[in-house]
Amino acid sequence: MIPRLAYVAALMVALTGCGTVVDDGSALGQTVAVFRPGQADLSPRFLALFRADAPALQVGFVDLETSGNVLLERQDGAFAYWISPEGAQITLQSGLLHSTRGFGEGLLASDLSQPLALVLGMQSGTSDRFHTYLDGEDRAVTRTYRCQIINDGAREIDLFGTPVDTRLMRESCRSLDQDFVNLYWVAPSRGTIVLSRQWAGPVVGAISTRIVPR
Amino acid sequence: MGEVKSWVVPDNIREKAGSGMKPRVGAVFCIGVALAWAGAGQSQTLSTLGTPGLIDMPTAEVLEDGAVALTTNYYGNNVRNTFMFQVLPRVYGTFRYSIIRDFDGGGTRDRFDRSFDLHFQLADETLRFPALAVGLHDLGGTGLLSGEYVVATKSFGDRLKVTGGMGWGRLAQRGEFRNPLSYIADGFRDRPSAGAGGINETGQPDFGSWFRGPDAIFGGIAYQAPERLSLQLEYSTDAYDQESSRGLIDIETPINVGLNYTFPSGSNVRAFVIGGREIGLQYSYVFNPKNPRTPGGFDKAPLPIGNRNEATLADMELSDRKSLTLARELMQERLDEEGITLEALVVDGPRVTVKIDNTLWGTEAQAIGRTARVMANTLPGNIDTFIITTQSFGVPNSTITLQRDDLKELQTDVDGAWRSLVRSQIEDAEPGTREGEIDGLYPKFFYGLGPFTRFSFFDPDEPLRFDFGAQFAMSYRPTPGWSFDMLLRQPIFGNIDEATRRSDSVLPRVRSDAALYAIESDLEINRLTAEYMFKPSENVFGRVSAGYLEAMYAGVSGELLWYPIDSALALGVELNYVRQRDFDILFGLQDYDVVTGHAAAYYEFGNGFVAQVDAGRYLAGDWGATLGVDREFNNGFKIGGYFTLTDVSFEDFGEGSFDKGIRVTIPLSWLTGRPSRENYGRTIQPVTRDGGARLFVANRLYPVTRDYRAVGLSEGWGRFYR
Repeated sequence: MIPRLAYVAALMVALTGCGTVVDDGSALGQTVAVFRPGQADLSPRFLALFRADAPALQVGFVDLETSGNVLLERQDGAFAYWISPEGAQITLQSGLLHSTRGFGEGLLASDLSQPLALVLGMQSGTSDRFHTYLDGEDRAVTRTYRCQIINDGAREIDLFGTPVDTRLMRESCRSLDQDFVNLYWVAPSRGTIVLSRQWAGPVVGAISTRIVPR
Repeated sequence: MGEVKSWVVPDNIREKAGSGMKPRVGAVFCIGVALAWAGAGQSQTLSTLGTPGLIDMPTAEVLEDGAVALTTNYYGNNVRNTFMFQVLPRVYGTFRYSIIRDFDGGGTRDRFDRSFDLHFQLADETLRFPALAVGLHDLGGTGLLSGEYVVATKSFGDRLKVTGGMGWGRLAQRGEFRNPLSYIADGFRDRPSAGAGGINETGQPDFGSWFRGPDAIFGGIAYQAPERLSLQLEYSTDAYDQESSRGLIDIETPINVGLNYTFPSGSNVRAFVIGGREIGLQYSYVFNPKNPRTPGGFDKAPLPIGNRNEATLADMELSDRKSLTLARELMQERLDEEGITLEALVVDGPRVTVKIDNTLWGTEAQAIGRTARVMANTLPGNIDTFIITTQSFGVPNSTITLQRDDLKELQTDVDGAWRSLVRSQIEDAEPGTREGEIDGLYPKFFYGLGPFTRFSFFDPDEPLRFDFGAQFAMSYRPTPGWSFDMLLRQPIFGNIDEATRRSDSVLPRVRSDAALYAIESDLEINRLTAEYMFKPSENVFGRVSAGYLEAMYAGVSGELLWYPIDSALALGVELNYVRQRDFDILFGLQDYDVVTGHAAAYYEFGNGFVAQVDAGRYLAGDWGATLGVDREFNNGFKIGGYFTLTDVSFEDFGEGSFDKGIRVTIPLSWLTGRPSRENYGRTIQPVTRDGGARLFVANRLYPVTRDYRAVGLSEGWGRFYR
């Protein structure tokens, strides 16, 4: 009886990925794979920025319960490219999450022109936002979300020990099958988002950002 | 899809987003560990046959398009292992390997049975009408499981599903009545006995018995209890007549019951009782190749594209040898960091052409995007146009022309992938010249050591045999196109060489002596070849290989492929002269030699299906054709099947009647989410015989050129800006 069960286990393994004497994998490829080192732990680009004391942003994956700091690799107009220690990237457009790379989520790009105007203007209103995702079959799929943005009033927040006066902007978005709420704490004195919680997509869920003082 | 996690209140975020302390810089996020593998998440139960059903009876349900279900169960003297694939939204097929202990030889021998099923969904369920389906079990095997059905399933509310159907063959072993079809045509009245014609006729579709003989009505209900648990109850018309008459199973009642638990990962565990006495256990795993580990992957982030005046060589003119050398070295170094080999760089006024060999990315479009980013951040400001030629084996394939301004403009565009594809130009590459070649590119030398596994399936003495060992590969490439390769294998342990069954083939034993190769070989020279790849003219590729081509054959192989850059169709010819190698897989050769070759047509239907037809002469000197159809998911996961018919009669072919098989290719990146060009591909043949057998040659042209042609590049363009 035991050997039979062993067959079953082995057959399941076999059905999932193995075969008869026919072997059509590239032999060279298979062997090279063994020697290929795993992805280096720390990105050289991140290390170079760290040594140059580049601006930092604290990023948390709220649903995945992991967080760390990312460093500013490039500021290009409204777009800020932040790189993580492992070499992944998030791009913020004036503080709003525009795209992600290397974090598992396929957020290729977003069109945030409408929410940007309302959030940074600290005004309530209705807006559309567009996210383009890479789907599981490597196709770019654009999704539209209809959002209600409200000014939720003044909030004093603690930013690494410093109290900061902010306005909390709440953006509630909905598509046919998805919904999420983004929160932005906007400092009127600076006109910038100092703290936020924004939905990246169905894979990693929400991301928090917090400006780290120099 | 798209489970939206509940969001935390503002106070909560403060706790999570920081406690006022500066977090440790350099702490990696470990997203890969945190992300759970998303399963298919279906609450579908699978029958003992591994297909949507109750316990033994089918239902008119299907899985999600593209889904794969792997099922194994154990009850009484039965073990059934099933691979099921939802080929189309309305069609699924299965391959099953069953073992019934003590079935043959008066209870002394086990029965090993391979079976294929097909199921067609005729109508989906609507508010008023049930789903309707027709199916064939074991449509060409020994007939042990053979039966056909028409079935309807209707849901009542969210929890209850009711199924009723009519069965033939094995599904009419109880409560049978005269076949209604026989009132139309008398031939339907009787069913030819199962497996008539003996072992030699297995493997052919049993058209002659489908829907013939008496009928019976079966039915049942499935109830979805809360918390992923479901219950099934059925009136079965499969009475296990053959097993019962041999005393192998105790059937006391037509009522079967089952209990199923579905895990979020896609695993299903179930327990069931058949005939009131036999308790069974079953495990299934359901997944969809459309859903890789993560859609976005864990690739290292690309370089943001800067302004022209910020490029490293912004103010340089690439007019003299010194500056050109500097540019080549810089580009070579930066592309190397991206897993791309720079092979040549040529400047022509405001246009720069680079030739690249992608060694890392599974999607060519992503390698092109990465190359374009490096060009934009490196090359002088007066360069407007980037021309990227893809190469593999030193042979140019396609040329992609991009405008520098577009790259920058579209990098943050919400529709950047599609818009950049529209603005790029994809052409066939000019046949190779070595102009602008990077100094010291040749000779190239690669080597590697790693494990290998080899499997042998379905030997009735030991249904799974395997070898595990070490292999050493090396490749020396003196100039573009030329390659000298060697692959050595040393089996360490395994049991393929314990096989005692010997070929009974009446044909030349071109494949059926596999066991002898395993027994007589130790350290084997699996492959030792010289190969020349070339591009003789526009849209044409060529290959010549000579030497020890594969474990069983040595000789010469030549191939030409005509593959227009923007075409879904490719045509090829291949001609080989080979001699069978000695069983020790070293240098010696046997007497058998043959001229074998095929004309081939390849066609991409554009809906994920690719067909291949090869017509010609096979290893045993037989003439015929092979038809293969694969469903290819755009992420590289492939599931397909093929069959070969030749002028060898079914009788001479032996068990299985003709060669056929199913094949699966899984990209490593699908499993890990990390960039890789590695694929794990396997072909499973129910029986390996000598008719319709083909030579294995490395680097057949269609698979090695295809990803670089326009269709392949466009399909992967979603990754251009990744």
